[in-house]
Amino acid sequence: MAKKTTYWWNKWTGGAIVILLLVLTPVFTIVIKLFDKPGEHWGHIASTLLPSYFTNSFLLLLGVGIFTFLIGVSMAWLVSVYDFPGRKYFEWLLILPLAFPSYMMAYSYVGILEYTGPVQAFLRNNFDIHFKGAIVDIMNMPGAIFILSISLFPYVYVICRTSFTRQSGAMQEAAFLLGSNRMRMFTKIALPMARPAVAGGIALVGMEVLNDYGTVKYFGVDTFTSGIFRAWFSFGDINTAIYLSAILTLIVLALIWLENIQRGSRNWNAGSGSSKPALRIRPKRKSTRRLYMVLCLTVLLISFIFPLLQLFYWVSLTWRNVVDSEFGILIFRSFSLAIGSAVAIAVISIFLLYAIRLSPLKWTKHIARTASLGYAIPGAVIAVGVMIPMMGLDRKINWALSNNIGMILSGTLFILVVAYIVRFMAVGYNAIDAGFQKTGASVNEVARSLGASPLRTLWKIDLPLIRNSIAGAVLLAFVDILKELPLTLILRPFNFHTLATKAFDMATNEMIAESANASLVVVLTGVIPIIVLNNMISRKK
Amino acid sequence: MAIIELNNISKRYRNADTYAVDGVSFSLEKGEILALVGESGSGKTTLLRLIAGLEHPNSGSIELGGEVIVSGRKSLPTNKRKTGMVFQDYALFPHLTIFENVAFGLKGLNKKETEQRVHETIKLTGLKEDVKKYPHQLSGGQQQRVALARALAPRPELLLMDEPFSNLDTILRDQVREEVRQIIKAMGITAILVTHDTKDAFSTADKIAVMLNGKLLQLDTPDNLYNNPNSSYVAELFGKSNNVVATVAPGGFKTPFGFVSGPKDCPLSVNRDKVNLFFRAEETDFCNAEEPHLCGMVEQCMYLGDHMQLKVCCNRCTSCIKDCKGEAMDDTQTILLKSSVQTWKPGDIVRFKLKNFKVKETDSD
Repeated sequence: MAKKTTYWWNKWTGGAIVILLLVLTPVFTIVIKLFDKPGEHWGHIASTLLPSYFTNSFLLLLGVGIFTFLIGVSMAWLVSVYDFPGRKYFEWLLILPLAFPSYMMAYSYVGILEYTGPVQAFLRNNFDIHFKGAIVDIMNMPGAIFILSISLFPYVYVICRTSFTRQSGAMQEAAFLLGSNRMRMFTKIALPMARPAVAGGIALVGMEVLNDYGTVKYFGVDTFTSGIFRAWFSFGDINTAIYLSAILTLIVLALIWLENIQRGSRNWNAGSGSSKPALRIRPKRKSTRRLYMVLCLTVLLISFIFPLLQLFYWVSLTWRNVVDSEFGILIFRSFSLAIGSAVAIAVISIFLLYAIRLSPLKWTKHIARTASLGYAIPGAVIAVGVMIPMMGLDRKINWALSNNIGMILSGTLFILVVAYIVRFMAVGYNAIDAGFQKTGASVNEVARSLGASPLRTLWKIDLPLIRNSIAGAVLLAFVDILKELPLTLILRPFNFHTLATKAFDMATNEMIAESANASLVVVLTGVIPIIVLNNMISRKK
Repeated sequence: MAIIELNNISKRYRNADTYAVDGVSFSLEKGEILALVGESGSGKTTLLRLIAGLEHPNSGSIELGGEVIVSGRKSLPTNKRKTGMVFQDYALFPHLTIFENVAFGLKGLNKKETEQRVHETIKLTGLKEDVKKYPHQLSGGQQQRVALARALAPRPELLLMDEPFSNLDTILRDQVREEVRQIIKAMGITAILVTHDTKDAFSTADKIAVMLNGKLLQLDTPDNLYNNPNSSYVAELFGKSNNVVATVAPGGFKTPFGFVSGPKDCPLSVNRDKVNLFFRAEETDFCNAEEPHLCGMVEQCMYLGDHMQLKVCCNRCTSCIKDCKGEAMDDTQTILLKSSVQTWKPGDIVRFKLKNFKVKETDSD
């Protein structure tokens, strides 16, 4: 007689619980440490710096929120409703700024506008116009808002475009039959229907803004993240860093919560997804079509092409001094670290999602989702949350071996990989989840009813069917890890550099032109998945 | 010996107010085919998934082949139960060939035996396609056969089929239904199929179980279900039927349509005041005014190809009124009649006799 087991328990469930606990440790740590007494510098920071952290973070959120909304929604509306020359290309070209980490964007723009930069040189040489210093000083709050807006608007753009193109054509036709014009159609139908999506996009932007360290540090705008760095590195005060982290986490959670209430139970989808898409309108006047093209082109130039050209220009000046075997090693290290972590993320995501698939308990899905919480939490906070338990573990190990072998966990790449996994789990998790959703549950169920063990079913049926999603997950996580700055800065082993930290290091040490070499590698690598994914989508069409 | 036995199985999904399956018990003999019939949401698919081990019941136990496979929190994992399953969308493995699909569930056989078993099973299902083809190269009917062959290849003790015919078009469907029954019978396998189509149930099953809101209303042979439905729901499910409220009178029943003389051997419970007369739309004969008859007026007629369906309301025809002695009856009742004569139009007077009817207690009891 075959052995019966408790219905909800199997090895996969057990494994999933262990993984979840490990992944959630940083968050738990922050929460628990909140009940410790604050660090010695807390009083000082709370009275002198905290108000400005609050104001600056709030102003940044507000400014970047408004601008990403304006740019993202208008661009999405143009490319999904109108037909004009180059629309097909702008559709995906406008996603490219995502490949440009905002701190690298900041360096580029400082270079573009400075005295020796191309704009001033051009004006000087051709029109004899002279400026003192930069044309516009962007190393301040408005500058930070500008940089973050142009590098983050694609989050709103992508999500909004999807929403606009999915809205059914029949519904738009109904609106026209009822006498609406384009503008009314946009304000009364399209935008309200896209509202949950737009808010979701802006929430993502908000999380990225709070996560940013490179830009605000370079521009001298003090936010919570820079506060955490100050407490950690300048004061060496861990508890104060934790307090700041906790406040920042609360702000993020409030952001998620706000997004959730505004969405409520709304699900404004026009019924079946198979409805025919809205017809694109080709404006009658040639000048209107030109205008739309110029608008898109302007946004693309400002948010991607100009800063990229600046990088190329700098690289052409400095590559002889920078690109050597050491630079090769730097690239190799960065890439292997990112690929290794991305693969680990994919493996863990598959494990978690498969455990859910096998479980007869439907609510496990919601619990497992918490594994992707790390994406909302700023990198600096995760770094602190990972560092503390690891240091504790190190002390335990040293004590148990009664030997001072030092930091075997916290001082090595291991801790960095763990932190990357926690922070970027969502990227891989969502991509692989989409793959599982598309395959459906029945092939898995049928395989098991035919007597295949869960492991054999995974290996023979599920994995071959979701291999594209796995590749996509690894690619997306890889690029995100490659760009990551604040977390890497805090947790990297002594004298270890990735491309991101190298670029940051050089730029903050007056070697901004030299930093372009590392930046260029990161940006060009980031472009790859956008092109690959775009090809995959257009092939499906 | 019962091959499968369910004891008081209940299942409630999380966040649901009502039970998807509510205290269902039944057993099935080896070689029988059972059809679970009900509208969507009646719990029939859930019941199938409970038997397959894809869901776990809140209470109750299940025995398969004399072995308890579910009781309390204990459960035999799906892959250890000897059940085969055919899904509504077939769920063929798209990346495997027909041969690999069918061979997937075979264990402990060498290469030659595997090949033999696969070809044998495929032959049985009548599939004449090249086994090296992939599922997407097959038509719906062929995919259906592969799904069936795949489930049958390991020779399961119990075959479960979830809406197996719903993705086939009408003509193919009639043919496949017949074949599926023959295949299952030829292999002597016990099978449970879920369907919302009573035609599927009648043409394939030995026994039919009717489900409503998670409860098992009646499990019986098709013949008994049709002729002795235990509830108006079951009666309605298997064809147009009529329930006329009548008063018991000496020698028969008074109805708004006239007097019905009681059958001689009918055990009349005269102490009951009101009863329901149950008869199917086709269980009537049309007649002329000379014979004792019931009568009504055509309110609506529907042309249905080989016959016409009449909706008939009470017509205060003098003879009926006389027979019923003008008693106050509920004359808002309507009945449905089937007529092979297709010349009826609204307003016509219909005279008819009941060929057959059953006396039931009124539902309000």
